[in-house]
Amino acid sequence: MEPLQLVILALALALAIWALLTYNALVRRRNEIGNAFAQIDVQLKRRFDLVPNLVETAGRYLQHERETLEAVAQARAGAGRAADAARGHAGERQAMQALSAADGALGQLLGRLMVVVEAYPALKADARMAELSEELAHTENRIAFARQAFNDAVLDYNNAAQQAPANLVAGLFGFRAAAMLEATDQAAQREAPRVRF
Amino acid sequence: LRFRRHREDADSRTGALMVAFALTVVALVAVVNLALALAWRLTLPIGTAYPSLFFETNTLVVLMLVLGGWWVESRRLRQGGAVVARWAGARVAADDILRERRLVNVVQEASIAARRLPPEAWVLPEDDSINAFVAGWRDEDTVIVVTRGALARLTRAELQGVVAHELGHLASGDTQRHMRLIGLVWGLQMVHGLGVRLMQPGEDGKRPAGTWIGLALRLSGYAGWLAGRLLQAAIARQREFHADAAAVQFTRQVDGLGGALRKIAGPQGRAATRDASAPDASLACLSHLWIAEPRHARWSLASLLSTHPPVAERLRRLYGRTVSALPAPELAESPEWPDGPHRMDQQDRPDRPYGLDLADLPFPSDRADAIPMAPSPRQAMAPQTLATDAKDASPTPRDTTSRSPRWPPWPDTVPGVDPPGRETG
Repeated sequence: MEPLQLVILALALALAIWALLTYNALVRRRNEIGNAFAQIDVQLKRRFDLVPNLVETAGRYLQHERETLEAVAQARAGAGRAADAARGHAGERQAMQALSAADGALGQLLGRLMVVVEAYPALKADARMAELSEELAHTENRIAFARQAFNDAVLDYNNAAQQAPANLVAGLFGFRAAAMLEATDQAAQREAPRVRF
Repeated sequence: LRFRRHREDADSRTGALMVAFALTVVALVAVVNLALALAWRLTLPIGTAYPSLFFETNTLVVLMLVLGGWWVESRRLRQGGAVVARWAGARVAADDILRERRLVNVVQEASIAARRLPPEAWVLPEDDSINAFVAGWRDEDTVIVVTRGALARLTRAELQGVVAHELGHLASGDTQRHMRLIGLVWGLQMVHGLGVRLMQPGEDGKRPAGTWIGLALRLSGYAGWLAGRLLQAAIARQREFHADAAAVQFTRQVDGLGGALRKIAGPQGRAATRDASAPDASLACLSHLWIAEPRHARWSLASLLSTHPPVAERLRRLYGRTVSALPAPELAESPEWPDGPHRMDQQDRPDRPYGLDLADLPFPSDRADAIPMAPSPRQAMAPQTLATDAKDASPTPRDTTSRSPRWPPWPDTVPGVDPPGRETG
C-alpha cells in the first residue's frame, strides 16, 4: 500500500476508536442518570410509606386538623400517580415537571403538618412523633440529596454530550439533552412559607 | 461556585507536597551517603579507598528501611476500619437510641449526596468533645466514628456537616493517602532508630567503632523524619480544607459544618476537648483523621506539625469572613432524655388507632405500617399527657436551645442578621 493510504487508514481507525469511546462514555453517563433517577424513586417510595404512619400518629392529637391530614393523604396519592407515570421516562422534561409538581405539593403539605405539630406540645412530646419527625427529616434529606445527585448526573451527561467534539457523536446517535429536576415550578412554591402565631 | 475552586486549590497544593515527599526520600538517601562518606574519611586514615559497592549498599539499606517500615505499618493499618474503631474504644451505633439512629440516618443521607457507599456508623461513647473520624482501606470496610459529645451538642444540620466533611475525606481517598504517608514517616524514623542503636556504648562503656556511622545515620535520619512529619502535616492541612469544601458541596450549605466548627472553637467545645480522656498513642496517630485535632500540642513546632489548620482559618475560608465561636451546650434530645436514653421498645401496636380512622382517608391498599416502627410505652399514656399539658399551658420557660428533630429544617441564623445573644467577630 502507498504510505498515504496507510496514513488515511490509520486516521480513520483512530477516528473510529475515538467515536466508539465517546459513544460508550455517553451511554455510561446516560445510564447514570437512570440510576440516579431510580434512587429518587426509592426515596420517594420511602416517604410514600412513611406518610400513613405520620398521619396516624398525628391524627391521635389533631382532631381539629383533619383537613390538613386529608390534604396530606390526597397529595400522597397524587405523588404516587406521578411517580408511576414518570417511571421509565427519566430525564424527559414533561414527566420530570409533573413529578416535581406532585412531590413538591406533598413536601409542602408535610412541611405544613410539621408546623402544625410544633403548635401542639402534647404531640411534640410524643416519643413516637419524635421518631417520626426524625424519619421524615431523614427522608426529606434523602430525597433532596437524591435530587441533587440526579441533577449532578444530568449536568455531567449534558456537559459530555454538548461539548465539542463529542457533540458530533452525540448528534449522530441521538443523545438528547436531559432535563434537570427543578425544585419549584410555580411562583407560589418559591415563596417562603408564612408562619402565623 | 466557590467550593469547586477551593477543592481544586487544595488538590494542586497536595500534588506539590507529594512531590516534595518523594524528594525527601531521595534527599535522605543522598544525605546518608554523604554523611557516611564523611564518617569514613574521619575514622580511617586519609587515602583509604571506599570499599566496593559502598554507596550502593548504603542506598539499598536506607531504601529497605524506609520501604520496609512503610510496608509493615501499612499492613497494620490495612486491617480495616472496624479494627481501628474498636482500637479507639468505639462501638457500633445503636439503632434504637434516637440520637444514634439520627447519626445512622445522617450518614446514609450524606452518602447519597456524595454518591458513595455509606460507611458504618460508630460511636465513641466515652468522649465528650465534638469530634469524628473515618477509617478504612476499602469502601466496604470503612467506618465513621463520631464522639458522644458531637451527638449531644450538635444540631442535625451540624452533624450532617461533620459527616459530610468525613465523607469528603473518603471521596478523595484521603484515608489511603494518609496511611501511606504514616507508613513512609515511620520508615524514615527507622533510619534514625538504627543510628541510635549503633551509637549506644557497649557493656564496657567504650564507644563502639560504629559511633561515627551511627551519628551520621542518626542526624540524617532525624532530618529525614522531621521533614517527613512536616510534609505529612502540611498535606493533612490541605486535605482538611479540601474536605471542608467537599462538605459544602455535598450539603449545599455552609451553616451545617460551619456551625459545628464554631461550636468546636467555642469555650465549651474547647473545654470538652481538653477534658476528654487524654488520647493515647493510638488516637494521636489517627490525628489526621479527626475533624479537629484531639489534642493541642504545646511546643513551638506545634503549628507546623499539627495535622489540622486552625479552626478560625477554616471558618474564614468557609464563610469568606471572620465569624465568632458558638457555645456548645448539650441539647435536649426529646422530653424523655433526662430520664435516660430513650429507646424504641419493640412492643405491639395498639389494635385500633384512636383519632382518625385510616379507612376514611384515600390511601391505596398498602399497609400503614410499611416502615416498621413500634410505638413507645409512653403512647399508652398519651391522652393523660395531653390533659396535663393542657392544664399547665406551659408556664415554664421553654428551653430555647432544645431542638427536637423537625422538618423543614429552619435555618438557625438568618444570613446577615445575628440573633440576639450571639456576638459576631
